[in-house]
Amino acid sequence: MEKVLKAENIVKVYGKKEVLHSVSLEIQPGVIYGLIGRNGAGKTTLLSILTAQNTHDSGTVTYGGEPVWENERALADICFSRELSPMLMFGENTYKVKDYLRAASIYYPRWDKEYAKRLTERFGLDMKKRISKLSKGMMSMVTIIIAMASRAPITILDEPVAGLDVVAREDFYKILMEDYTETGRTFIISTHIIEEAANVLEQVILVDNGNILEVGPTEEFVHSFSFVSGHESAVDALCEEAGASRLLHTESFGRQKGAALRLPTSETKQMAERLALDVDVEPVSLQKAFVYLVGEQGGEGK
Amino acid sequence: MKQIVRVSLPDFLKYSAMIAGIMLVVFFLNSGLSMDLPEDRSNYLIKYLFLGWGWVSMIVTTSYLPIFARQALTMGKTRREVLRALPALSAIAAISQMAACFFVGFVMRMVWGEQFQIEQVLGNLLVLFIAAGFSFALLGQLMGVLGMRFGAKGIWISMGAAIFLFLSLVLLFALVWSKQLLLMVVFFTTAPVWQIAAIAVGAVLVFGALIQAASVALLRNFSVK
Repeated sequence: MEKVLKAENIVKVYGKKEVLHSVSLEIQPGVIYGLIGRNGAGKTTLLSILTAQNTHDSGTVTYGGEPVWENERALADICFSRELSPMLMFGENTYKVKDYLRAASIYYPRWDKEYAKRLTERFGLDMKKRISKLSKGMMSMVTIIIAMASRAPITILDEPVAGLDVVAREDFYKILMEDYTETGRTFIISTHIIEEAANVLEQVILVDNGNILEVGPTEEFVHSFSFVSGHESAVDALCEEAGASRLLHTESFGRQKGAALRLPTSETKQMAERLALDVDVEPVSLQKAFVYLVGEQGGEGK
Repeated sequence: MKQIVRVSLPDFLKYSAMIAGIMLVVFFLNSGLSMDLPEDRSNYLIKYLFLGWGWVSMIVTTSYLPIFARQALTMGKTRREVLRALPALSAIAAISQMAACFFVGFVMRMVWGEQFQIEQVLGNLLVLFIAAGFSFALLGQLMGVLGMRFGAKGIWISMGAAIFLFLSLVLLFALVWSKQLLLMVVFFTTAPVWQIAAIAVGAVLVFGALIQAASVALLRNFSVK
């Protein structure tokens, strides 16, 4: 039976600041999730709690009904490939790429050595290079290789494409899709480069200020938004009809106005036709939907 | 635990070999320049044994245990597994360091033959050196764990506290219990080896248990940053 990773009412406090507010989430097997949110929204904290790398102040995290905390069986099924650090406690990280892969091969029970080798060659990574000498993109490649070759049923990547150039990013999504087609395992990908990832993410988890705002199929989520543009009076009339709660964002260009609505494009079009308003109605991208939803609430740096 | 040991072993061996190499180079340079008497050579070995077995073991455990522990925790190991591995890693660090020093002694004996008074470091002194090797490695474990928990400042604070405690004890012995200290020195130099060994094993076990209890308290709810 395939197991569900489940978080219920997770609260995390750093000092006096609550960074996760009673967060609940279910990660179903065989799905690619995208975890999106602004800097400091609580993404990495949430992921590290899901994988028992971080403590939490209340709530529970279970995998297949068993608590994840200090559970060797559960943790053997989960890989959370984290960003590598060029610095260690006493100075530069002098470990080589091969040292990290060797450690991963020992720790992950399903490690695929051949696959790791193929990916290393595909990325053109020098196994003898020290971590401190790698560029940001190369460090991301190491974390990607560890995540993919771990063959863990639940594989989590935190900012896997940070620092990667556009060719390498395309390659990563290709690798991800190839692996997903072959294994059907669960992926959770935390990313800021939303537009590129939109096509591979089956479900989005939207985090903002320590809360989960949305969880659902990416397509459904994106289709629930529309962007209206036209003469100021026509757009205002349409927005009034839609209701203030659906209005997410407005922008003016002289007498012209644009407005983002939490209303599917088809419904917005019908509404405009019913009111005989001369406006353009367009769908929005995942990135735009995300920006309209959280962009005006202000984020904070980590 | 076995996995964490497997990951760390090449590093421990590499550093022990490196230290042995440095000791030999320094020794050869030094002996060529200034050491003519066999006593000088033997004193030199005693000094470097203390340095190699004690301080180097401590530095290795202080700096490397946090790295292995963090790596293991981020690669799906539990805190329990990491805590089980810590004393084993400290012991391995100390043993590999001792093996390196034995190798250095062996090479010196081969080069200088009878002139090299290896007898000076056998017997009770050797037992105390071995106990010191394990104790320093364990102290390094505690400092490494403090470093993991509180960052580099945790290491400096604990190192300061250890030095302060050591100096206070020395002062206390010198001023108040100087007679007892003398008796203790006499005892440790004249007692049979088995007695000293029994005391050393007991002391290392008690010290190790205390360090492990502190490590458990510090890492039980550790969060990987």
